[in-house]
Amino acid sequence: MNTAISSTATAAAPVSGEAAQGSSPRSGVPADASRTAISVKGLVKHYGSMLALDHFDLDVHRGEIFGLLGPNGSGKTTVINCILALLTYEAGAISVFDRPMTPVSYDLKRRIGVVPQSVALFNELTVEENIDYFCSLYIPKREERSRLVREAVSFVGLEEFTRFRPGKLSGGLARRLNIACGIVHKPDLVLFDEPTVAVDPQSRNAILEGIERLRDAGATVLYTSHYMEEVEQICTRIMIMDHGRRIALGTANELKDMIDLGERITVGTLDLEQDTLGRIRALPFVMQADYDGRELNVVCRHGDRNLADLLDLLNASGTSTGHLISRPPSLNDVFLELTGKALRD
Amino acid sequence: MWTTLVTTIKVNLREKSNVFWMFAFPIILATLFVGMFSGLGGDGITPQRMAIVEDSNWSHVQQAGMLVKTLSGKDEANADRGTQQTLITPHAVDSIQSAQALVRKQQADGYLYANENGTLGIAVSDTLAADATNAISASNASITITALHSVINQFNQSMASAKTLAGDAARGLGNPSSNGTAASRNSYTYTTDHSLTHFAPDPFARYYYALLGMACLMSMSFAIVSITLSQANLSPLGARRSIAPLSKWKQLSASFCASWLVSFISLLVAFLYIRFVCGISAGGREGMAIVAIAISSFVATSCGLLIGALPWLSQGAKIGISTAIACIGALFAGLYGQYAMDVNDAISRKVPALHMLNPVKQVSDLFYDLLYYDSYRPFLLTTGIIILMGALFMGSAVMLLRRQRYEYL
Repeated sequence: MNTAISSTATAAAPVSGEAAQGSSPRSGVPADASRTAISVKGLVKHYGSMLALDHFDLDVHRGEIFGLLGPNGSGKTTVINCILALLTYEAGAISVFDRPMTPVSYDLKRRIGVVPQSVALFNELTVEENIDYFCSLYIPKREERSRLVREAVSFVGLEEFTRFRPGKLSGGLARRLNIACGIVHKPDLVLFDEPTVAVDPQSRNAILEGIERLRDAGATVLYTSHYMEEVEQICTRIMIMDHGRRIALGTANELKDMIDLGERITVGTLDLEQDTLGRIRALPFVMQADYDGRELNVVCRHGDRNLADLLDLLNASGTSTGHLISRPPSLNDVFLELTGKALRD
Repeated sequence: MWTTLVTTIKVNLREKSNVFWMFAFPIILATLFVGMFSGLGGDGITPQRMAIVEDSNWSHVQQAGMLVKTLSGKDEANADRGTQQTLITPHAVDSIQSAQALVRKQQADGYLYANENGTLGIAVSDTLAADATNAISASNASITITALHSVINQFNQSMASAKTLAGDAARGLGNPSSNGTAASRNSYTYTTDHSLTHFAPDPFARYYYALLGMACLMSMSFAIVSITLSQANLSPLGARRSIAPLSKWKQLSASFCASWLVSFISLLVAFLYIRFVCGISAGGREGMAIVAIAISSFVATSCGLLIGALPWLSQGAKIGISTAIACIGALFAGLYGQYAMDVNDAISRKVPALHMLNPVKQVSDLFYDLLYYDSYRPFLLTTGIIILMGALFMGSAVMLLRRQRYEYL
């Protein structure tokens, strides 16, 4: 992928504040120089009788990639739509770059880019025309727009497809076009709502790299996804939400420390006695232990000597061991631990 | 706003179904009308090759020569009225035998002759007779033969009356047949052709105008698509556009104007085709007809704006509603044949207010007013109704579209 947007990073960073007054958001001297890009306080939102957001709080710092995780129906997209002043809400306050966000906050809107969950494009326009149209909503000057469109096309690697219409693009290419339309005007704040749904690993990797380049160029990113590994890969801080509430907030490691779950240990063995399995289950750090005749799987609590103590017990009991795997807890474990394993719609 | 307008025009013109239904469909339907009506209008009469047996009997029939001239469309007295119809292509022969020989050689379709008693007769070839009685024949020979028989019968009756009058006059006044002949001849001039309108009416024009009305209402779909794609609560694309720093009203205005323009263009194309290819007149008021198109497309776009603004309906459902409105409106405007036209006329006579609720009928009437009325008053009245209708649609749509934030998306 080209570095057209990231190439502006040295000139543009830190994130501007007064870009709202000009047509090029990431330029100029910041006037609203607090650390907060998005501030949501006590947001309450109902869909009919269903509570969608329950006194929800959110603070996204400037220059970070903030991950918003949650099961289906947890309220992620509702939060984004409230931030964008598309949805009404019953209580709470939302500000972006320290200013209240309303439907007519055009200065703020000029600094925001959105990559929606569904691919929202004109099927009758070509790739280039689509990007140019969305750019025109922010940048009136044709010459400036032409340059930005070229850079956006290059950023998402669609140079060979500029004359294609969206219907002729693969799912991954359409997603990349969706992104280009959202970031073409070089916003200070970009909201990505599950941008990698149904794309292949190569496209996903390209998208994630692009988001990191946006961050490097000074943009703040709010990123929602179901894919834990990609959130863990790119996000500075992560919030897990469910039922319209904040469940946990922190870095990936901080989140892992919040749960009782430690590593998962797998030991290959063919002669584990039932008595030995019972003694393993009785160890204080063991949460769960299962044996299927070939492998012993042990789920542990946090502890520094879990693996050593388990191996000592196996050696003492005369159990022969083959391969040995120890996996630290993943964000997926944290997510399932905090939100439960019940199926969601 | 300008790029939104241009983009909306592009989107509307590149949508294949739009191009078919709004541009191709009215032209196809108008072409079908041309085919349907061509057998019924004056142009459907096909001149037949007739031998004229100018023997001694023929020379005794007064005005026979004039009759042949009239039938062959060469009557100078009627030429300036533009009402002449050519029924025969004459070929003079000196005997019935010669005429029959021509028929046998297929150089004539029949012949006109005079009997000894001074009446005229017509004989047609077997081929022509068969053609005339064939219901599926495309030659229209039956119309020509019927017209020829009718004219000759009328001629014979007139001549018989003239002879009677001449006999009476000879007995009563002592002055011969010239008076009777004059009376007979003058009987043709007791009625003259006067048009009550500024332009010769075309009985089939109403169907084409109803077609324009339907095409106009079908063009609502331009506005429906444009509005659906610009509203956050109606489409993901609309949501995306709503978060841009361009006011909602600028986006809506651009979408409305673009839809109006495309609707105008589609109607203009249909009108030009109907006017110059199908030959349906606008009463010599083509300029005003273009104004009528602009007004018509305004009401269609306003109606489309209202339907497009309806929440909780998919774009497909809205297009379906607009198509249903156009088709039902066209039914009561008389588009679907004589029966529908009779219904249209019955409504006009008994419940004219009902027509005021039918935009297809009002659009159709705009063109009808231009063709049939000398005064512009009916046209202006219909224009007022349409503009009022459009304003109501637009006002209702604005009520639905005024929200900037939504409870649901």
